[in-house]
Order: sequence, then C-alpha cells, then structure tokens
Amino acid sequence: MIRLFTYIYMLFLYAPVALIVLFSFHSSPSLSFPFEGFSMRWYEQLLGSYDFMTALRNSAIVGGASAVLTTILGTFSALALMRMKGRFKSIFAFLNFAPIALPGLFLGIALVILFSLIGLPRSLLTVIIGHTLFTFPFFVESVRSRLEYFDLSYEEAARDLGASPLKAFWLVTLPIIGPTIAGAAILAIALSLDEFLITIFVTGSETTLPLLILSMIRRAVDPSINAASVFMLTLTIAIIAIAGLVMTMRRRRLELERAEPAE
Amino acid sequence: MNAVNQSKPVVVGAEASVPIKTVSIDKKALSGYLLATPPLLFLIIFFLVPSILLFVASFWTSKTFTMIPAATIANYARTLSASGFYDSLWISMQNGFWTATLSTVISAPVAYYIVYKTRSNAVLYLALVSWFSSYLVRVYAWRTILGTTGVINSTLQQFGIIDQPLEWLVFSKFSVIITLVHIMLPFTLLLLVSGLRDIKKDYLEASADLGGGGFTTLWKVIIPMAHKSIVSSFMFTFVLAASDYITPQLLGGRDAMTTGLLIANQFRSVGNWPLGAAMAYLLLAVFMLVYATLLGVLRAANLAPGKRYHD
Amino acid sequence: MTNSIELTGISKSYGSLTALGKVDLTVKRNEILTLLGPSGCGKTTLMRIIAGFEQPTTGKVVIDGKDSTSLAPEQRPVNMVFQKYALFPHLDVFDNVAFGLRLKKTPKDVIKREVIKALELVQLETYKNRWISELSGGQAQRVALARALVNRPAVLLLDEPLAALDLKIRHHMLNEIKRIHEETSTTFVYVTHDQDEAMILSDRVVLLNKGGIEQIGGPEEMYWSPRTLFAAKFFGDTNIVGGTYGASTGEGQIQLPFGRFAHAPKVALQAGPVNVSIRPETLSLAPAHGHLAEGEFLGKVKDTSFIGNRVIYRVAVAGGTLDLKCQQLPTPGSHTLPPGADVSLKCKPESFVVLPA
Repeated sequence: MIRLFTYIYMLFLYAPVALIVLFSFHSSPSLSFPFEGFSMRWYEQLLGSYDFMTALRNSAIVGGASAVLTTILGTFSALALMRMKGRFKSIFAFLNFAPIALPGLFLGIALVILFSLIGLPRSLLTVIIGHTLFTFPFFVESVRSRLEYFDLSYEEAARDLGASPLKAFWLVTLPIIGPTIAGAAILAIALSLDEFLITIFVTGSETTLPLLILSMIRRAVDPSINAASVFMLTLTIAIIAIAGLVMTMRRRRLELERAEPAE
Repeated sequence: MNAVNQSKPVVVGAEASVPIKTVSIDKKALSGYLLATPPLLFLIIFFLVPSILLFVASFWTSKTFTMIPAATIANYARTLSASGFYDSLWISMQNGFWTATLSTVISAPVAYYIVYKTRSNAVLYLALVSWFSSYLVRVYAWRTILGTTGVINSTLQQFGIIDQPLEWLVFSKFSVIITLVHIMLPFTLLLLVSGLRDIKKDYLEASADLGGGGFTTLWKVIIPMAHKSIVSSFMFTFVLAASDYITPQLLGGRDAMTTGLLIANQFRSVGNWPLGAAMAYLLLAVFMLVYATLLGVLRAANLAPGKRYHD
Repeated sequence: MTNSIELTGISKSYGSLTALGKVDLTVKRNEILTLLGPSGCGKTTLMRIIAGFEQPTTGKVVIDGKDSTSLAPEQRPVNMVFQKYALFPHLDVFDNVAFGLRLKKTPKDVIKREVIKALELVQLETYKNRWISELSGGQAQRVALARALVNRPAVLLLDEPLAALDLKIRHHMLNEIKRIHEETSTTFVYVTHDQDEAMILSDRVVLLNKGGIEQIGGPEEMYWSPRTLFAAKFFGDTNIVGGTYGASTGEGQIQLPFGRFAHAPKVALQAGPVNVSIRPETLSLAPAHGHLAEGEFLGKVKDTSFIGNRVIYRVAVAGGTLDLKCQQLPTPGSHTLPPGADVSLKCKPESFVVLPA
C-alpha cells in the first residue's frame, strides 16, 4: 500500500516535467494530444536566440562566481563550527542558517535597500552577492552534517607528526573534506542556476536563464519555452548528479572506515 | 626534592605570565573564532544590516522611488487600514495553509517508506533531483497541463468530451495550490526524512513490543518524537508558499494578489519602498503568529514531548 | 641525563574549572609509565600538555632535557597513538607511516627502509598497500604504533589505545605493546582508566584523582601499599573496615569490630580512628569448629559466587554488623560453602593497610 502510494507520489512529481520534455520535441506548436511528431526545431530556435545565449552566459557567470564565493565563505564557516563550542557556536550556527528561513522576496528587497543606500549600482555583481547569500546556508548545512564525520584528532595527529597548522590543513584536512566541499560547491551552482526570487530585485538590466524563462512565460505561449525549460532542467540535473556522485562516493569510504570490523 | 627546588624560580616565572597564557589557553576555540570572521562579516553586511535597514526604512517616507528618512508609522497605518492588504493576506494564508498541510500529509507516508521500509535511497535521490528541477519549469508545466488551451482541455475537446474549456482548471485556487504543492513536495519530504532518520527503528519495535499497534505507535511515539521536524517542514513550506507571488500571478487569475505580490509591486512598479518594507515586516509578524499558534495547537493536542501522563 | 620528561608545577584551568592542580612528575628514560585514573581525573589533559595540544596554565614542561613549555606539537620530540588512532583515511598504510618522515624531508630510500622496518616491528609489513578502511581495529592499532614509532620519538604517548578494542584482542595487544617497548627501548607514557592494563604494562603507575597525583609506584607497591583510601579502593577489590589504633588499645594494636590485632605500622601512625584495607585474598575461611584459635573470629556466609579459579564469599561478621568479602582458591573436589554456613575466619594482620580515617 505504502509502496504504491510512494510510486504515485513520484509519478506526480515527475509526470508534469516529463510532459514538458515531451512537448519540447513536438513538431507542432500545439500543446495537446495526439502527438504529431518529433522535431528539434524549438531547440534550434532557442540556440539561435541572442537573448537566450546572453542569459545563459550571465547565469554561468553568476553561478560560477557565487559558487566560488560560497565555497570559500562556507568552508571557513564549516571549519569554524567544527572548532567552536557553547553559546557562540549556536549563535553562529543560527546566523549561518537564518537566510534560508526567510523567503527570497524578503532577502531581495532588503538587499535592494542596502545597495541603493550605499550607492552600489545593480549589476551582475549585486546578483552574485544575492546568490551567495542564498546558496551559503545550503552549502554550510550540507557540508556540516558530513563534516561531523571529521575527527579533529586527524589534525592533531598531523601536528604531532611534525606538520605546521597550515601543512596539517593542506595535507590532511583538505584531502579528507575536499570531496564534500566539492559536492556542496556543485550544489551551490545548481541552486544559483534556478534562483530568481532574489535576482528579480537585485539585477540591473541583465537577465539570467530563469528571468528569461519567466518573461517568456509572461509574454506568450511560445513552444521554445519548453525547449528552454528542458535545457535548464538538464543542466541542473546533470550538475546535481555530479555533486551527488562526488558526495556519496566520499561517504561510502568514510562509513566503511567507521565500521571497524573485528580482527 | 632537589629538582623541584632548582626549578622553583621558573615556576614562579610561569605563574607571573598567567595572563598572557590565558589568552592562548584554548587555541582550538580561538582558531574557530578567526575562521568564523570572514563568513560572519559577510552575513553581517549582507544579511543582518539589510534586514535592519529594511526595518528602519519601513518608518521612512517616499517620493517616486526615492526614500526620505523619517520616523513615521504612516506606512504601517496605511497598510493596516487598507482592505486590499487583508484580502491579499487572506489569499496568502490560504495558499500557505493548504500547500503546507497537503505537502506534509502527502509526504509523511513517503518519508516513512523511505526511512523504515526500504533500504535503497533511490526514492530519496529522485525526490532530491526533482527539488532542484526549476521552480519555473514546474509552474510552466502546470500551465501547460491546466491552461484553457492546455493538455487537458484541448485533449478533452478533441475527443468531444467537452465543448468549452474547463475554466476552473486554471486561474483558480485549485491550480495555484496544486502547483505550489507540486513545487514544495520534495522540500517537505526531505525535511521529514531527515527528522524521521533520528528516530531509530528500535523505538518503533519497542513500542510494538509493549503492545502498541501501528496507530498507537504513530501517535504516541513517532509524531511526538518527530514533532520538531514536522513543525519545521510545515512552517518552511508555509512561509515559502504564502510569500510566493509568481505562481499565483501565472496561474491564479483573480486570486493573484497575494501579499508577496503587493510587496514586490511596491519595489518594482509603484516605487514606494518604505511602504513595501512595512508590509514585509507585517507579513513576517503574521508568520511568527502562525508559528506560535501551530506550537500551541500541537501542545494542546498532546503531540509535543514534555507531557507527563501521570500525576 | 636519565629523565625523558620533567614536569614541574603543571596546572591547567579552563575558566573557573581546574583540570589539573600543581603536578610534578618525572618520567625516566625507557620506562613504561602509566597515567591511571577515573574519567575527569586529569590524565588526558596531562598527556595533551606533554604532547603540546594544551598549554599549561602554570608550570614547565621539559622534554629530553629541553624546556618545551611553549613549543608547538610539531616541534616536540614526542609522538602519540590516538585513542581512535586518527589514521588518515585518504592515505594507505605506507603513506600513513611515512607521513612524519616526509615532513622531515627524509630521502626517499631512507623513508622506504624505515617504514618497512616499522611495519615489520608491528608485524604488518604485508599490509603496506592497504587502505585504512580495510584494516581491523587491532591492525589499525598497530599501524598507529608504527606511524608514531617510525619517527624515533624520545617519548611515545599512548592515549587509551586499547579502549576501542574488544577484550580478547586487548590482552594480545598489551603483550604486543610490551614486546615493542622492549625492541625499541623508547620511553612510553600510557594513559588508561583500566587498572588491569596499568598493572600488566607498567614499570611505574601514576594514580591521578581530581587533577592531582594520588600516588606513584610500581604495580605491587600500588596494590599492597596504597597510601590513600582512594588508592586502596582503586586497585582490585578490598574490604575497608573502620577501627581504632593505639592509645586505649595499646601501642601496635588495632581494634576492629571483630577483634583486636597486633599491627606494626610501616609508616608513623597517630593513635586514633583508622580505616583498614583488608584484601579478600588475605582472609582465609573454614567451616566453624568448636574453638577459636588466636586471631580467628566467627562469621556467617551470606552469599557465594563461584568464578572457577576463585570463590568469593560475603560473610557477616561481628554479630552481623559488618560484611567481609573473602576470596578462596577452590581445588578439585572442594565444596563451596552454602549461604547460612557458620565459618571461622582468619586474617593476616601484617597485610593490613592502615590509613588514618
């Protein structure tokens, strides 16, 4: 019973998306059955569109830059949380998490006020800041739960064997937590790629992929929206598949190590 | 004894330098604070300060996209005296409530299945992937399905089952909520799963061993133990759905004017930022109220831990 | 120079919490010294101060004749075997053992030779290409030993290294550690809360309690001549009986609830109330017979535990006001006395440990 329910649940999650994928290959602009035939015309139209290519480029810039920023700041946070104790730790952990608890709308308008008061013109830079604020809590959360596997005595062992603090980080901490960090960084790209609730407010004249799709949906029923959607979907899924692969491979090894079989 | 005597001056020296040593006492914690500094600065500048500025700005006045510092509660007064705000709030709360309730109720059995009934993570990963699949793609998918010229209507018309498109399918509460539920489901599921993961199967078996049936175990063991994650997944979903304005705009028809849209409009088309800021804080206050009410209800229903069943 | 470590006036406090009071301790070259005590006694803090992971609040740490108080862990000639080994999971066995040598920029061929030698010492030379996740607990333990010893430390620190192993491997590893100690002739400082481990392994035991040293001595001295009540109770099983020494009872006499005994104190003792520690194995027991000989007294068996190589009786004495534990060695065919049996007990006053109450 419960298994059947789960299958229906998954069907509900995926069927609408599958429909979009299907219609993106439809040879006619109509969005109804019966299906008239397959064609790549909407994809050709899309890739030939200047707007689409610009939005794609902007999304790539923002995704890359905010992921790098998030990774640097988030790694600092995770390493700090591993070492902190007591009340400061809980306050800091709360602050790290807090931006997720607020709707994107709220973060967007708060940032817009800040930018206008300090005179920072809205541009891709402000979008990158907004995206970093959005992806940072997710990064810290996903890294933190996995870093609980990390035992600080690894660092002490390295120090004990003659490594300076920096060497210990470079030779031991980073190789051990590296894959986790990499996985979370890739997740940050995926999150940034889809973000538009904050972007709407903090962007200047630049559009990103989601903003372009939003304006396409608003404007008219254009079948190349299907193709644009599938393009974005594929991109996101490919990115998180890579992230998932990196993270699970890492965890398997750590779990094995934890198992401590008897002699 | 001799060795101790010889080194006595050194011991005194060490005592004298106590204050200096106290600073380096907990090197580990110190390095923790140092490492925390860059992210802390980022969060202060781009999260705390803007949130405070937004609050401060809600007491300012405005003239076509320009904010003028002031100390007036006019924005709050104006918002609270306009019936449009209450109408929008009512729509937002309905969206939030139905989306959160349906998402939580529908996801709970699946979370149970993932945590206790299957050893494979396939279902969880699939849900995770769909969580990351774009919000807009899914809104668009539902518009394609439910629209007047959409899949359902045009297919039904083609087969002559209906003459006129079913208007209620799209631009209605129904279409908004089904879309929001579809968007929020994976998120709710992930929060519930991570909550249930903390309740080891042993507890369920202990309950069964003591004679608890499935229903008793659910109400007396699982829900009280998981209540935190149930509340948090409900609240997260509630806040996200209630503050949403894109889905209502694209699928909502007359019900499009949510508080979120009202706020967004102040910032985009109308240009009265202080008024929008006041509305945003009022919306946050309402969310707090909902949260407090939810906790109260759970406690009253004996579903939160901490209740004693004896005198 | 005969001392590997000299600690003078070491104390450590965290805010208002004192983990260690003033501790003075000398570790002799090539000995196995155990820091023993219940959790929270300060033994781990003391070891971490030696390793350099904690700064003492006051005091001086001299390692190998050199003041090391303010040296970082990586600058100290000590190496540590961590409680959960802390073997690097991203490196294989060889690279783990080679870690310290590589940091010292040792030539490649020397590293190879030394690592193989260290692995041979711990009998794991065939495991050099294994990943850490492929090792059992006991094997990981040996790799951790090799990784520390390959650096030829002046002192090897072992932080409860056997705590994560199960009982059978633990005994085997204790002998292994002893063997490795003999082969390497290095100073070992071993932290444990298990008195059996301490007794089996140590040249000297340092018993710690509440941040201070309770007593230092060889295993036998610790067992037969504890200097405090805490020390008496910590090692093995004992009966603590309240009594009176001297004065009214006469010089060299101890009055206990079940009789008066002659006792020549080993250390100067004030007349007055005392606690006497009587080891169960120093009491002998026989079925009650008509008359009591000199030094004998009566009791009634309350319960009996047969443990194979010994029988432990709980016997009510002094009219039922006091229970004594009494340990006997059973022989084939001997019968364990049932509860309720009347017995006569005999003690050896010369084995009494008399402590001022």
